[in-house]
Amino acid sequence: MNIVEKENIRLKVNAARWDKAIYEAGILLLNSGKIKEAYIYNMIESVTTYGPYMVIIPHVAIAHARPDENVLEEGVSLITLEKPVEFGNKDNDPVDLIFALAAKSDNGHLSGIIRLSNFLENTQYLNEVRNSRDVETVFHLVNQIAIAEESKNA
Amino acid sequence: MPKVKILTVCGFGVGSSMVLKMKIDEILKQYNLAAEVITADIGTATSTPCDLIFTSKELENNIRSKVKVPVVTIVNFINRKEIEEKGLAFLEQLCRLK
Repeated sequence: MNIVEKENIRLKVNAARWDKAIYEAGILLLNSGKIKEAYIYNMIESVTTYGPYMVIIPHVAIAHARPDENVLEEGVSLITLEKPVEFGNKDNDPVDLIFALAAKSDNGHLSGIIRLSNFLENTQYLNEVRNSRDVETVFHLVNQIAIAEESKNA
Repeated sequence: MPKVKILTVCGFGVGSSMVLKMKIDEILKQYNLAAEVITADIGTATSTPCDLIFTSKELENNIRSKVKVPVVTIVNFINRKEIEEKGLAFLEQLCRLK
């Protein structure tokens, strides 16, 4: 199973602010039928409510909201930004790579998260994704490498 | 003997807390420590019995004043070195005491 489908990747997106950036990542999940529109606003509201904790590693945010009826199917989208934005997380700002996560239940998406975190651990791959303008390349980087790492660790 | 119980906390207990849980599980395995790591959302975390809490700096203030157990704050959720530096001493001590 892939972490991110090709249709859920957009590169060098223009977004002037953090909330616009989450919106752009959310739209991909909406268009691929993973979520209802309200989930996008819930992701944005999560940051306003709880603070920018979703920037869990330097320059990378994992946007998500409460798993509820607005999630139709589990899914992940990935966008990179033309210009980084500030989330207000003073340790890990600015952000230029955003994964939006639609999770349905507590554990159903666990294997996806494991693969995602394997991927996040490799700074070299992250930088290649950041600099790329080719969706095909990024699709292979994120999915193939993550799976390779997984079998290595198994 | 009751197992040491560790909570990783994020807004909803499904995203970043899961990433953090996996890293802590790796560290526990490496140091041969027996503890259960479970994820929790910020709403229920403070009423869930546990021995130690890991969370982010942003969520720390919501938690620290409401619990009696140590709270470890992590900046980079996949940086094992940071997690070990800040949390390993707690983990070793707790597992020894149980």
